[in-house]
Amino acid sequence: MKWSDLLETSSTSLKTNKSRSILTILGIVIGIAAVIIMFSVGRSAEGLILNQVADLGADLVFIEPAAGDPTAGPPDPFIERSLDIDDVDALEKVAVFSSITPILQSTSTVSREQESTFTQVIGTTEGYIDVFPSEVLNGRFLDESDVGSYARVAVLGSEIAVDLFGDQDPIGERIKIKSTSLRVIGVFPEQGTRFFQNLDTQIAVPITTAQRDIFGVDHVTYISARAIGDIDNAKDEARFTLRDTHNLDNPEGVPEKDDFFVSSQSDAVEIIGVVGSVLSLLLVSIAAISLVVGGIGIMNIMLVSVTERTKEIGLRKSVGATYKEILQQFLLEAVLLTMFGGIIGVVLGVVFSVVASYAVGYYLDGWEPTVPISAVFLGVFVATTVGVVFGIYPARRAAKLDPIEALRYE
Amino acid sequence: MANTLIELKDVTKKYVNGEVVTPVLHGVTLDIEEGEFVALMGPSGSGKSTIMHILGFLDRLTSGSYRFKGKDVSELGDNELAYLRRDEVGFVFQFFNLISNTTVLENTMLPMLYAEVPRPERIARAKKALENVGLGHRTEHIANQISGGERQRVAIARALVNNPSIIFADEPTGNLDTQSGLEILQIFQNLNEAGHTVIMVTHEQEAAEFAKRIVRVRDGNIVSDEAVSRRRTHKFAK
Repeated sequence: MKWSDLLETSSTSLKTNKSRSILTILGIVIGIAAVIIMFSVGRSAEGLILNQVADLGADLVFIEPAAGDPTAGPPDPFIERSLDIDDVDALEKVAVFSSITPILQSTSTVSREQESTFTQVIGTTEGYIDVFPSEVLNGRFLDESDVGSYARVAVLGSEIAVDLFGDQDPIGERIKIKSTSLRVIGVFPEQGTRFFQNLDTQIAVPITTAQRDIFGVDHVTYISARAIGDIDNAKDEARFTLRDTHNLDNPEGVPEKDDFFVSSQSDAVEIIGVVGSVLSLLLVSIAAISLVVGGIGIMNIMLVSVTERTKEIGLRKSVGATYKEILQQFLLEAVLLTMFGGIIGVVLGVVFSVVASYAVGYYLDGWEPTVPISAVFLGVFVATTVGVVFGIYPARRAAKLDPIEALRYE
Repeated sequence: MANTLIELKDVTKKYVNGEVVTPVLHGVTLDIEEGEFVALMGPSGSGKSTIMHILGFLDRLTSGSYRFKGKDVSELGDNELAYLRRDEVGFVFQFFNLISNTTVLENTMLPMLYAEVPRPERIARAKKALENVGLGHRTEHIANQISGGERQRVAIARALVNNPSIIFADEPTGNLDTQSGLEILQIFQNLNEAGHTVIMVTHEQEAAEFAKRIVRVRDGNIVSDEAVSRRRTHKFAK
C-alpha cells in the first residue's frame, strides 16, 4: 500500500469517529500543554532571578555568621552573633574590596505622631550606598559623621515614607523607632524587591545608633562588600582575615570550623542553576506520568477500535492486506492521534504561557514570556513517540487477527 | 479444453483447539476449470465453507495438496497468501462486509488500494465495475444508506475490480429477500457467461441451480459432483 493511501485510510477512519478521536487525545493535549506551560514558567522565573542577580553584579560578596553552609539548618545562637563592626574594619585593611558595609537587620515598630507600623530597619554605614548603588535620593544618605557620632537620623524607603507621611515631605520630620526618636534626612526612590525583600519599606539608620540606642546589641546580621579583581581570591582573603581576628585555628579551611560563611553572587547563580535542574527534573517526571496516562488512554481506545472493526480488518485481509499493511494502518492511526494531540497541546501551552506571563508581568517587573522552541519540538516529538509506543500493541492485535474469524465476528 | 485452475488432492483439515482436535475435511479431491460456475452445497457444518476458505487462500489445509494454476500453494506463507487473495480472487460474503460510513465508490476501490493501483485508474475501474452491477448512479452514497440487494452488488463490484481469476461467493443470497437474491444470482450467472469463474457456497437448491455444476459436501466428504441439467435463470423486471 502506498504511503499516501495509508495516510488517507488512517485519517478517514479517525474522521468518521471524530468526537471519540478528540476525547481520546485530550489526555495527550493536557499533558503536552502542561509541559509547555511548566517549562515556560520555570524558564521565566529563572530568568527573572538571574536578571536580578546580574543587576547586583557578580562581584557582590556576602559574609554571614554561620558554621558551614548557612542554608543547612537553623543557625547556632552563639554563632549568630559572631560578626561585628571590628570585622568590617579588619576586612577594610586587606584591600580586596572596593566597598564594604555591615548590616544589622531587624523588624521593629516605627511611629510618627499617631501613625504606627511594623517594618524592617537596617543599621548600616555610609558604605551601603557604594555596595548597593541607588538612584539619587531625596535628601541625603547616611555619611561618615552620622555613623561616628551615633546620629539619630534615618533614610526611608519610598513606600514607608508614604505610609508615614502621605503627601507631606518627610525631610527634617521626626519618626520613632521603638522609643528612639530620629530625624528623617533622606528618602529612597522606588527600588522594588531584592531577594524577595521589599526595599521600599526599609528604613536605614546609622549602625552605631541601631546597635547601641535602638536594639542594644553588638553584632551585625551580615556584611556586604564589592570585590576587586578575582572574586575567589577576595573571598579567600576575607576568610583568612576573619579566622585571624576571630582566633580560629582552621588552616585546612574546613567551613564547619569557621563561625562565618563567605559567599558571592556567582555562588547564588550556581545554586539557582541547581534548583533549576531539580525543578526541571520534577517537571519532566510530572510530564512523563501525564503522558503515560495519556498513552494508556490511546491504547485503550485503539483496542476498542480494533475490536469494533474486527470485521473491517477481516475484509481488508480478504482483499489482500498483509500483516504489515494492517499493522501500519492502526499504528498510523495511533500516531496521528497523538501527534495531533501534541500539536494542539503545544498551541494551548504557548497561548496559556504568554497570557500567564502578561498576567504575572503586571505584578512582577522583568517577567518575560519565554517559550523555548526546543520544548515545542520536544512536545510534538514526545507525543508522537507515545503514539508509537502505545499504538504498537493494538496494531499488532489487529494485524494478527485470523481473517476467517475476523470476517465471522459479530 | 479450458485450463485447470484448481486441483485439490486428498485435502484434509483439522482444527486444533487446545486438546480438542476437530476434523472438518476427510480427503477432498476436486478440480475446477476456468470458466466454471460451481455451487458448493451442503448442510451447515458439512465443511463447504472450509473448502471455500482453503480455495480462497484464507485458510491452510492440514494434509494433501492444493495446486492453483499448476503451482503448489499448500505451503505458502501469510504474505504470499495475501498477495494471492489480492491478485487472484474476489470474495462476496453473506453479510456484504462493506465499510460503513464510507461511500459506495470508496468501498469498491478498497482492493485496489492494496494492489497499489494509481488513484485515477482506481476511480475509473471502480465506476465501471459499479456500472456493470447496475449501480452507476449510486457511487457517492454512503454504504449503510442503501438496500441489502444494492449492498451485495457493491460487494460484487468490489470483488471484480482487481480482475480476479475466481469469484467466491459465500451464501450471497442468505441475507436478502427472494427478489434481490434472484437478481444477485443472475448477476453471477451473467458474470460467468462473460468468462468469469464463479464458486458459490450455498445451502439452497434453487440458488445452486443457477450454477453449471453442483458439488455436494457432507461430513467433510464430497458426496456428489454433477452438472446441472436444467439451469435456472432470472429475468430482471426492467
